[in-house]
Amino acid sequence: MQNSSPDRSSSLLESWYVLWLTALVSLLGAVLEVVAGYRAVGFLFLVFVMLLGLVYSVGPVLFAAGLSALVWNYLFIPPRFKFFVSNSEDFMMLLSYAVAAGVIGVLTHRLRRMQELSALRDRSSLFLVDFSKILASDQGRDAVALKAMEKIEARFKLRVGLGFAEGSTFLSPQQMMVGDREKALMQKALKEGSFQGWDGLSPRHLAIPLQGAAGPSAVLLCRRDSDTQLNQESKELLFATTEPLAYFLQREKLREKSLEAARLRESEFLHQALLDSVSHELRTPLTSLLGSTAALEHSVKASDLGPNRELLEEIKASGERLNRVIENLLDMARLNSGALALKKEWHDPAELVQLTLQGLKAPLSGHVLKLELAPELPLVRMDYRLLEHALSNLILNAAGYAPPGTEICVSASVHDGNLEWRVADQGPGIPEGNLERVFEKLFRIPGSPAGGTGLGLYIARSLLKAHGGDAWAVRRPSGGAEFILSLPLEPSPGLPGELAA
Amino acid sequence: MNPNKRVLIIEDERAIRRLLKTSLEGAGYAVLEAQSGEAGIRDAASLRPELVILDLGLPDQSGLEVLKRIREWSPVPVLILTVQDSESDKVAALDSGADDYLTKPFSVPELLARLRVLERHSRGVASDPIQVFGDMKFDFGGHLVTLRGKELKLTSTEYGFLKVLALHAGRIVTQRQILKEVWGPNAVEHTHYLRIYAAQLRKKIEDDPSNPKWIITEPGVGYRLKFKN
Repeated sequence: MQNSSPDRSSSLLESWYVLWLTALVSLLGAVLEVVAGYRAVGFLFLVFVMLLGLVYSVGPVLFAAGLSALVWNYLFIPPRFKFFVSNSEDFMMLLSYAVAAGVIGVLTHRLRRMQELSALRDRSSLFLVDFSKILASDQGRDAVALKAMEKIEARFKLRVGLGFAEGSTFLSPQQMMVGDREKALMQKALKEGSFQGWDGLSPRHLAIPLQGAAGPSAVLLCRRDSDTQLNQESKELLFATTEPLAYFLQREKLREKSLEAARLRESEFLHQALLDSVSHELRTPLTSLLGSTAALEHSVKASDLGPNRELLEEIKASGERLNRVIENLLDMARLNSGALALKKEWHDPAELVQLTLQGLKAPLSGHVLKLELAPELPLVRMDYRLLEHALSNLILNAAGYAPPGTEICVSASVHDGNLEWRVADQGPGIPEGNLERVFEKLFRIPGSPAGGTGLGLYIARSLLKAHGGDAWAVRRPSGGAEFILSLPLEPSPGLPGELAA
Repeated sequence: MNPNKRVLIIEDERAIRRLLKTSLEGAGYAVLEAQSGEAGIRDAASLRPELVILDLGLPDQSGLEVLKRIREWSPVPVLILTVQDSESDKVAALDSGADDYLTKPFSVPELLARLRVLERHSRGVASDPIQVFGDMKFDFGGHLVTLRGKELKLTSTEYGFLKVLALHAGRIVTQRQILKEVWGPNAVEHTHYLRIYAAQLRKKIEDDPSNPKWIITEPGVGYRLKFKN
């Protein structure tokens, strides 16, 4: 690694040692020369440089190679005490020595560096393996994250903490203090998606963003003591640890989400099953109740019933009302579970009004009904049953609030490419501030008469929205309320041959 | 009423069976009861009832399946009982050979009226080329329809539509069935034809087209020619 060489002061120190060691080896060479001749001294120097390569860095080793070549030439190779070589054979040897010493020195040094690096890498990967093992355990997000951070603290001699992008959770094994400046640093790291700190502005704190699926999901905040210095390898390892940590957090988030979805599905399923069963269980006795009252009415002469006739009427009206409540609850359940499948067909909007009113004869018997159907209304593509349900909810709402004897006007017309059904009553109207609120689930105008579930208008609007339309209310200038169902018109369907011709 | 008419009720709910039994016996029918689909199929074969009332929601097998099994060998008129929000079930049952349906909760007079229509059809009156439905007289041979003695001026499609309803007078005819018989098998999805022609026919037949008495729409299911004899 280029930028990992020791700094200059240690190189100078090593060179100083090299100077003395060379002198020592020269003395040994003087002894050796007596026994083996001046050429053997060259080999001694070569071994010396090689050994230096095992311990010292490149600069001092090359310095030793050059110095020893000079010393050998000056002190040993004839003519002595001159930087001059007379014999061409000696000259070649000196030259090869210089080259060999240099190359061997550098190679040995490199070998050592590689060994060191690989040992470092082994330690790093061992650390990462351990770290991943911690992350793989199944003790819940916070417990695992805390353990992982303890590991980081021990390895890098840092204090660390984990801040999440969502919410204000801050996890730290040693309760690291976080001030406003640190918070700002973390915010910046989150926002820019790159690490911040350990610079002039923030010498002790470093914030590393942890990338999730959609941008950074958390920040690892590290604080070093003033005397802790991380070398390049350690810094890289620190950054490397944040990756599995980020994966871990992302995985935990996904798991949380899928658990949530499963819980939701289960509850929706139960919800639906419960409602289906409730609807069946309620409808069966209701069928027998309504059927029996109708059978009684049919078979017993009106005069024989006497005052009981009113009771019978009451049973019938209540049964029908209960039936509508069940309808509302069922549609509500379908809307909530998203299981509302529209069965769209072309229908006559005027017929919708007529048939809806036919089904509501009994509850509307106390009011004066007025019908305003524009001539030649276009066909509308809709789920008939759902639209009928929405419209009858509006009409029943009007009948519930407007006093008996008043007029309820139901109309159908085209406005700006929408088909609009309007239900206008002469009741007390809706206070200005509640025009929107009446469409909220379970909202009821304070002081309104008892009865009604508070679901009717909400369901009407939801059903229209499912069709791409809308429902809203206005105040009539003459008093009373007006409710509107609006459905966008689609291009008319093709006509059968006879008409088109 | 004919005291000999026997009605088989295939229905698992005791309360509904009791209501049906009381009302039907009150109207002069003899009532047979089956509590499951399997028992219903067996009784329909062994007891040979004149009418069948079949609940679509049975616990042991679908009512539709029971209907198909009965239809394999018997043309007995079948009236289906269903819950409100299942147009597709109704249509499937009608297209599989059910003769009419009633929605729970139903009214007893309506039930008796439906049964009378089914009985009438099972007697096979449809073979007569001239038929009278209240004030309306059909001459199928001469393609003529008169209302209160006055001949109706109908286009051939209008006549076709009205004829399909009249052949099943009083009974529901599914949208699919009308489209297929009047416009052919390629038109079975074009339900808007029905809206347009029903509106046209009503203008010619009804006193108040916005409050029809003859051609009754059963939304999502079909049409019914209603009459009083």
